[in-house]
Amino acid sequence: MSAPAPTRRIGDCRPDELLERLSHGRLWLDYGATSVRLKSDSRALCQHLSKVYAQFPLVEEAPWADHHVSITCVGGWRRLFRPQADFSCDFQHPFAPFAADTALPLFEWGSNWLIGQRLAHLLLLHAGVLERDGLALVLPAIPGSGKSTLTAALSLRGWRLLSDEFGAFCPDRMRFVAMLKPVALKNQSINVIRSFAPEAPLGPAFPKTRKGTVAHLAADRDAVDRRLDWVRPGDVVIPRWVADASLKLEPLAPHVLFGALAFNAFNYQDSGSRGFDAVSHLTTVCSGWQLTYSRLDDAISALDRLWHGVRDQHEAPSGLRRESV
Amino acid sequence: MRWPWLQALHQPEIISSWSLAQWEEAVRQTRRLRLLARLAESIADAGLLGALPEQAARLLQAERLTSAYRQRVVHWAATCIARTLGDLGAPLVLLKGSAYQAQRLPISAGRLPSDLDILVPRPALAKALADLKGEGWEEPELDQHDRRYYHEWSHEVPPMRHGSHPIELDLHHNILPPLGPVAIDMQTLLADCVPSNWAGWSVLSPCDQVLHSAAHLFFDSEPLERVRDLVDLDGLLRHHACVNEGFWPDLLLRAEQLRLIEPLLLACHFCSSWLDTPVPSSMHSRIRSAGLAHGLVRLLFSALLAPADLDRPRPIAQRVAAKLILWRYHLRRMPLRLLVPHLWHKWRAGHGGDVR
Amino acid sequence: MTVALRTPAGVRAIDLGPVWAVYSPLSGQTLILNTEAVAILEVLREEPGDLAHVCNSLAGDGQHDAGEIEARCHGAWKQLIDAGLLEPSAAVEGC
Repeated sequence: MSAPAPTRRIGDCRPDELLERLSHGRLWLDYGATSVRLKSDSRALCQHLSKVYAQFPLVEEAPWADHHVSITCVGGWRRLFRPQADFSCDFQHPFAPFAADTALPLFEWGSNWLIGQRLAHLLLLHAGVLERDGLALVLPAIPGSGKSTLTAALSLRGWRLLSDEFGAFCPDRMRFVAMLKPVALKNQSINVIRSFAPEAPLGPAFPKTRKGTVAHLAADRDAVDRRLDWVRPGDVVIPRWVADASLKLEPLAPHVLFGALAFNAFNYQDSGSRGFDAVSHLTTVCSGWQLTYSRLDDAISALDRLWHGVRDQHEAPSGLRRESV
Repeated sequence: MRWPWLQALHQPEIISSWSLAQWEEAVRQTRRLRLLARLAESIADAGLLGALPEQAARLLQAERLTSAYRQRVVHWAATCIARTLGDLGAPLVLLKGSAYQAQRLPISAGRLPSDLDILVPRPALAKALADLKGEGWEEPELDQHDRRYYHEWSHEVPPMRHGSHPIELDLHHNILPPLGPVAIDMQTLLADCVPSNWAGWSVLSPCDQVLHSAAHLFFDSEPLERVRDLVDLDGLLRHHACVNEGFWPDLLLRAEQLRLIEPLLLACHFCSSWLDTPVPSSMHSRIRSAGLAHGLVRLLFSALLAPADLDRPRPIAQRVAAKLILWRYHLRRMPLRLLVPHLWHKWRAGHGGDVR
Repeated sequence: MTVALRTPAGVRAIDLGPVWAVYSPLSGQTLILNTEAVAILEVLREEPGDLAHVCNSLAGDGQHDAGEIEARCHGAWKQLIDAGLLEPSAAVEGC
């Protein structure tokens, strides 16, 4: 039950053709839970998108996008001395311009900002989410936890990525859906993933951004093709990377689990009682765990083992598919 | 119709003929003009939510939830503040959106408030501030110039914040700045305030509500595309005219009394021509005979308020009109001896940090 | 405080073992509360009352005396009001 195979992918598109489409605002990116139409005159951005969104379908003409974004090179004397790129969405310019060679991070962070504000019909957890055996593994983002590194690593070891940043949960269906933005790796994470999987499709590293050095991991074909699948909740694991620590997987108290989901979400309060009911449901159907680790391979093995039990517990069929329009 | 999504606020049935492309435009335009939740509520009221394409339905549902949340937050803050200021010994008045909410006016549906505007009489201001600070409301850090600006030239104190309330509190002592084109004697307005549905809170009288809203729009420095204010004015005029006998003659009289005829005529002109607001012929005659200067101002606002087309640069006329109105605003607000240092200070502050 | 308070309609709660998560439809806030605080809400959901009334009801249910209960509930009382989990019983339903 896969999505119909798209005819072409962004990574297959010739650079000049992609730039032509991008400069006329004919690039559509469907992340699953939301979609963006992008326009830009930045040649560098075009190249980077080609790498980091390589498996995304190259759509001729989409009838709809939730967000319409423009990344424009700022004109005037700045072009010569300090070229900048500006993010706008329908006449709104929410941020100060970035250096022109960091147009990709600007696009990623800017579109994240729009997403966080506009999708209150979904509960957007601040968590990485991956699917295995039709069930969602939720990794709440606690600072310093190494969540993105672990999410990236899992996605390279047979777990289907739904999202690194936004755990998009539908309170009506009580299911997760992908928000398939590229995993943003920062600083040492980049090298960790390069060593972990030298073949991993990483985009360029952008030093000196506001969050240090950032690089993006492209989603694989399977994750892209199944981004519209709805996925039942499985279990919640709070990762905790501690140098030289031995591996430990400990159960979380229900109130800690509740807090890790509710008080860490982007828009929990926006949906009022809906958000409360959604988190209550997740707290009821999921077990919570804290995973302490120092080696990625150990963490992944522990999660693989955990998932045998999770699968049996949920007696999981494969996830439901959202109707295509 | 130039802006079908604007028409749909009053005639939601027209959405049933919209293509997906029209929906996409409607969502984009109404969202950026802060009217998306209002559109969603109109459609919901008309029982037409089932007629939406799925892509639009999701986003409208999201915006309704966000609106409901923001309104809940404002109502809660007002409840707490009424308790805090319970022994102020002076009226507590809600202004603008919070007032409409407290009165349950039709235009209270689908609002996206980011602040709570309240007013207390000037003599009670110091105690109100002290009581609010005692309950955890904090003023921002201000430099000497800004502090002086607020204390001497403004009709409100600096916006306050509270750890438990995710909104800004704007505490006013007048509805318009004392050094503006028109100085308002707040006592006159306070005498005519009426109770609201929220315990402890009153609101301005119907005529004063309309005039405040009109002045707030047409005396402002940046009325760019503030169609939402016109939608509010349209709603106020329709509602108050419907429930108050003699509303229009009273409104005109009050506008004369407060010297707010100019914004009233502008409001009536734009509401009737863009939103089909029923306006009596006597008002139309006043508008027609208002003179050349008024006509020029009307032309500027026409360029300024009209929502620009998406995916194109802003019309030059709009950018020029914006500059002219901004200059007019500054010149009418402060004498030159105060204006020049004030603008210099603002320019320096604006170029010190990130440009927005 | 002799004002009678009640638990507003629409308060939601989930049992998380030693504590509860509770949602207020008035403030939109979610709080983690201990069982005493939740017990207060349950009493005042049945019937409005003041702190003394609540303590007597709780003392009547269990084996503790009202004075001890009052000491434990006193701190929670203000917290519940500030979070929108208790409202004056004469309060008119807002919009």
